[in-house]
Amino acid sequence: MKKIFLLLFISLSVSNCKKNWLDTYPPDGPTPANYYQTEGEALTGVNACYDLLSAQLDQLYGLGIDAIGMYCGDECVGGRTAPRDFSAFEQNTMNGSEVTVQNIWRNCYTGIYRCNLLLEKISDLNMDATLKARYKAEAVFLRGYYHFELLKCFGGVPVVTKTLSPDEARVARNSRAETVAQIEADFNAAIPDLPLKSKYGAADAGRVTKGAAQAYLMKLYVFEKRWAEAITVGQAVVDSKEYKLFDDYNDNFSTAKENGSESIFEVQCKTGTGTGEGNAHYDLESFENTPNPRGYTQPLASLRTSYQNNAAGQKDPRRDFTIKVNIISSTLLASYKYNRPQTPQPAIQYDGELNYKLMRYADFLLLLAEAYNESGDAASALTNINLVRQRPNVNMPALSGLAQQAIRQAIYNERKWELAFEGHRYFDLVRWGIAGTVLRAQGRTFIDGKHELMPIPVSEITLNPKLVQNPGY
Amino acid sequence: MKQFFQCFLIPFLLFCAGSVSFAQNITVTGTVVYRPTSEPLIGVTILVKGTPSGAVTDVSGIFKLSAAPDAVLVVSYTGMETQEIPLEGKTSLNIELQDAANALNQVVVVGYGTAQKRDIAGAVSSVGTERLAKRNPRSIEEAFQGEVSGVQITNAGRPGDQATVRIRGYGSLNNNSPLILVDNVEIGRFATVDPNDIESVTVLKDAASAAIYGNRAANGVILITTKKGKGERQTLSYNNWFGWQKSTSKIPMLNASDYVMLINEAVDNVNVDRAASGQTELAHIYSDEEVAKWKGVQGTNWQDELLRTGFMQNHYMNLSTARESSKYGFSLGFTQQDGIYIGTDYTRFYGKFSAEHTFRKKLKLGHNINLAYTKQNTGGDYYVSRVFMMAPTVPVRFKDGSYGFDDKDPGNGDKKNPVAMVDYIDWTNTQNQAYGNIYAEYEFFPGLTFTSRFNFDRRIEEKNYLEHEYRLGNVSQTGFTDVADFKDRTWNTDNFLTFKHLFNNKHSLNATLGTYAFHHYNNYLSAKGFFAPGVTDYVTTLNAVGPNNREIYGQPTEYKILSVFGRAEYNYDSRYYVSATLRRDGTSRFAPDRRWGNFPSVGLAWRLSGEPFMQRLKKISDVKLRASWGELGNSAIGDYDWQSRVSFNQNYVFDNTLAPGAAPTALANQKISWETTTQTNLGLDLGFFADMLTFKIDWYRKDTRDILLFVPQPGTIGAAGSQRQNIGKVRNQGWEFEAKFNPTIRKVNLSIGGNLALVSNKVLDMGGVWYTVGREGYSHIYREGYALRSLWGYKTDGIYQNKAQVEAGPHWPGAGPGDLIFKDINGDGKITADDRTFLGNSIPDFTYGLNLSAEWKGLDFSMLFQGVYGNKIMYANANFGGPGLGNFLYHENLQASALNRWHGEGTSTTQPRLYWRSDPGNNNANSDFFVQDGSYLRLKNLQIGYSLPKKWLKNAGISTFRIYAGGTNLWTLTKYPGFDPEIAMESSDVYGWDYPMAKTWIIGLNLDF
Repeated sequence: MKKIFLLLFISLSVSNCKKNWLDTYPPDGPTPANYYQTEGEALTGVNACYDLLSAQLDQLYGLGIDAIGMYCGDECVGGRTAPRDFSAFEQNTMNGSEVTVQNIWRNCYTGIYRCNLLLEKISDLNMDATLKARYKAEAVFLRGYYHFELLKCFGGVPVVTKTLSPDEARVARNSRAETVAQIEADFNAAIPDLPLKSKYGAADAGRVTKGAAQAYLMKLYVFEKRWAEAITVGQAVVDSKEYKLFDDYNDNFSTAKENGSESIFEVQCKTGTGTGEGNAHYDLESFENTPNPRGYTQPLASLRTSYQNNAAGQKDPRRDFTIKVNIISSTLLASYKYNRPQTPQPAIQYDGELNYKLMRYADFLLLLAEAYNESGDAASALTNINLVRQRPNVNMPALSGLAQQAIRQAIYNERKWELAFEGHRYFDLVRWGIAGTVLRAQGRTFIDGKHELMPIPVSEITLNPKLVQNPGY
Repeated sequence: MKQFFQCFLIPFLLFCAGSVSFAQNITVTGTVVYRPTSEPLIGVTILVKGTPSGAVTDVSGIFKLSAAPDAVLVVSYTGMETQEIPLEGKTSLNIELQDAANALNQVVVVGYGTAQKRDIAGAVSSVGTERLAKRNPRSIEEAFQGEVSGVQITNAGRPGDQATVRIRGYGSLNNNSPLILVDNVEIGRFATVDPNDIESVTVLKDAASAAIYGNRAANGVILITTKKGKGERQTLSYNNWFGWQKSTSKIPMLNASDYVMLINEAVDNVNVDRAASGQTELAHIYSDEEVAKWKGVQGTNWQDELLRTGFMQNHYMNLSTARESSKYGFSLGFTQQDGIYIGTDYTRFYGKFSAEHTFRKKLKLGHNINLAYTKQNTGGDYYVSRVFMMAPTVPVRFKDGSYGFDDKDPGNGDKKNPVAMVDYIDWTNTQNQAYGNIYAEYEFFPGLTFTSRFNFDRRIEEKNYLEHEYRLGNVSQTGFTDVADFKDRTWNTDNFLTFKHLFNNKHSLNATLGTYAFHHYNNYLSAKGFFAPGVTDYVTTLNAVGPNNREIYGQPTEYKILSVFGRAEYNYDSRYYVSATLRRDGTSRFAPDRRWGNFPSVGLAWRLSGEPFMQRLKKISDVKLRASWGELGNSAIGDYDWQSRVSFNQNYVFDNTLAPGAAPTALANQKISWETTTQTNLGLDLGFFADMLTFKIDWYRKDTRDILLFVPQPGTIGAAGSQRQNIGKVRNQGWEFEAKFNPTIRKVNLSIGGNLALVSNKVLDMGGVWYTVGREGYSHIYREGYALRSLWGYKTDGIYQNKAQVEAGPHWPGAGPGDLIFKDINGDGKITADDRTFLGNSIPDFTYGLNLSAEWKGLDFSMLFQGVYGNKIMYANANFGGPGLGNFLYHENLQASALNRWHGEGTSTTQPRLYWRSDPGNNNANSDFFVQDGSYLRLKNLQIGYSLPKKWLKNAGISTFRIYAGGTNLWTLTKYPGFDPEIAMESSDVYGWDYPMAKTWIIGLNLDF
């Protein structure tokens, strides 16, 4: 009798337990294999590709590429000694262990991974064909875009066009030409299926447009000094009549005018979401008014003076649109494009509302002017420069009758004044081949043949020995 | 839940409904007396050997039980020698017990049963009631710290915080915590048990002893039993203690006068370099008038403001009742402690109800229910670091009564007045816990028992954090609240058969066969939100927060284990021992085809002292050789690490509206499986002079392979930075020594015990990867060929005295006279990250303990020394300057050693120059400059007690009345310059900022009725 009960017990214990009793599933997310099954799910996948365009602190444009553009150039110093790598960038003592370069590398490849995953998942999805084409085009453009940001910082990098397993991920760097070719191919592939800015619904404001893809393709050609191709694609943007400079320069930094007529591409920022969509630059530029004032972008005095040393000998109004004299101490300067008096102060630090500008029409026109000038069309170059100079509330005298070299110099200056603190300066100086001369004149270290590129993150080389460090590092 | 019914409850109930029958037994009666006085002994346990049945003596020392005519009775009583008496058909016995000279017969709780110490073949250490009663530990960890070899315990200073417990080194890179069972229940936290309620602590160290716990035994097992109902009469105990605690040390800091001088000097040093490059000079931080004003002024000593003497008390009551077939135990405990940092305190209420009923001598039904409530006020103790950062020139309050701030740096939010923060932040953690078990034991016939236990643990933790709105200088904060609920629910069930029999009085067999199932469910919920300005003095709840920046998290997870296990132990005549264990575990944490693991072990022992040829050597009472080998598993990783999933909230914004995004963010690995530890143990037990002097020596090698490691992956993958993989191998190898000497000299009972554990730890293989963690991301390294978490950084070689010396060799680009000289380890002529190297071991070479106790008449005295040797600590405080080294980034104060700084050629060869707000010479990089010896020896516990003579108390019905006084951490020998060397190896990356350790004095009372 006892034995029977015992056997019964043991057999019940074992047999009643279904084999799957040990199966548990994470309740907070489906497996990728079960996801991307509907149009709506595909859209969340597309949105996630944009997620890496972020101006939150330590993201791509929150002391990422923006920091290199500003601090490695001759715009500013990090002000109060900051816990991050500014002094390394200012002094060109970076060695690849900086958090900033690691974040740029990681964030760009995370973006690329998401684009590739979406492209792989969406191909068999049964959904509206036009929309599907647009989703794919958005992802393809962003893949090219992230590669372009890597190219700017590091030169040729591993080109990744599919999702990789850990075994496949240890790949060597592609050459600069191969990287450029992929970016060009992606931009070209995206252009046909992307809607014009005006063709998107209002709720889609901020998505990549046909104009943005064309403008970035032009920018790539300018970086690669392929002037004729730059002009062709650039002129298409102009002819689309989708873009127009704001009459008021300050509208570029107004929350009311986000994604306005001058906007080609910008990081869509929003405060208070709780999932990190804010813009860190409000606090980075701030000397006062915030819980923990930083003042990490202190303009060099030479930059401020340069606004007055223009050919006309006249003070450029953009000086005071860009730099303010700090109210605490009159000897301190502060940039304030994202920290305007009317910009709302975020409730928590580094969580500003204002969109971070990636490409404005003014930036575009100056790149186009450069392409015209370098290909010998001085008149078209001057037309485009003067558009920027003569927006109503800047209204600097039109330039005329200049030769190619003088126009080149004018473009150098114009970009410096127009686009200060928007993360372009260092990349422009390098592109123009004058970084060494300009930066050494400012007392900064710059070794030609080395400091044109950032070091590949040392941590990445450790993990992937096939990566070869940039020269000099 | 349905499956739970199907799997366990239904069979359990069916089993309980099973029939009951009787065997052919005789009834035995007897008395037990104390040999020296012939007084009857109450509450003596008499067990029928090889069975769980037995009896307990009543007030007259009389017992009655039924047993087979050829049975052997085991008579045991705390503090007395255990006797084995063959019945040989007798029905009446007179038994005399004497004080235990021979500890070997002590019964020790082991995995799924008990064993006599003599018969233990594995490496097992235990601390029994006698020892605990003399220590009156304030926490469970304290109960065995320094008492047991091979167990390293590192206390946390903050009241209510968990200590770190490590058995035989560090095997895993994940979780090195041992499995801790309180009355067979795995509880998440020690802290909820009142230490007065502990009956015994057993530590299972080697594979042979721990293997029956298979899947989580790789880091060793600690078994804690609490006091239950026992004896044949009612007993009531009341214990209390009152104590005072203060920081074990204070760190000498600069006074205001020196601080003002040095911060200006730091600016001067900057100006030397600025002048050289043609830049304008910076003004002094403190003007000449201010310097004159501060001259000779001490200023605020923030340690005095923030550290205090904390009062604490404990009350404990235990009632034990036994009737013929029922035993009841009831315990209540209350503890209250004020932390030594202002604003911190801890309160605990503890209650336990246990009962056991025997039905027709065959079926036992029982339960243990523990309830605990704890509340921890963490106050502003996040601001412990501010104790050192605050400048001595800052007053706690300004003259107008408002909180002080540094008017030289009014906008610095990283250095808020810590006294103010205690006021502005309300932060409590409360925990409600109910745990325990219900169980049934059924004896089919003497020797064969079936046990079914259902164990549960339900825990609800609440965090309530409220930060009031404030403004300090230019730093302002909007009020906010951040609350979290942490709900944890665990059940598990053990069902096992035990067969014990002694054949022909020679062949002893003990076999166990069982199943085990475990389910853990945890749900975490947290929410945070900001209040409208100006309202936080009267609104405190989430309902009042504004719409922006709300944060909500919720994450339920679950985890299951299913196991079968078996163990057979055989010994011949208590001379030759063989045991074998096999446990098969399946876990939900691995993919179905990877989740099952088999964990075998074998043990052998030879008790030479049982051999006839040893009987002539009367002085040698015990010699035993032990050997064991076994494999144990570890799956202490995330619940879903093998499953890839899409994460939501990868959001973006379109048209200023949040647009939901989703993408996988982690890199799952379906191939992961058990991390396995193979342990070999060789041991020798020796006893002399009837075990008055005993030795225990163990050697072990513990190899952990297939370590479940997050292996960093190249960024080009794009998902997460790393992936879980089974990779690598870590070896812990060491020796353990324990010695005890218990002589009685002129009626003084002396006891001297010592233990020593040597361990060497080394990473044998990490699959070619290595990584660093800690301060600045590289102060500690995990790398092949080094011990786990070795210190990593640059080597230095004194201080540059002049410019020529700087130029003469490789140096940092900005280095100048007064900076540390960094060594070019790889000889490439540059100082780069490649020059980082091994700086020391963070795991001690050995740990040791020494306890002494003496009893004479009613007086008792005990002391315990405990220490570690050979570990190094990176004593550098991230970003905030180091010990006497700083760049005043936050205008922080410095340790007084900063006065030895370099300030001109020949002024210092040990402390570099000060440099205001930057560090061109990289003096703050992790280097041997910061490495300190973490060795210490401390008087962990000291106690003197006096028990009133029993004859005085007899009429009052009191059996024990003992008063005592003592203390902990009273004396420490160490070279470590920080607050306290007893800091956990893995507790913090910012060494030197930990909550300080306390020195305590207590007085107390033990009263038994």
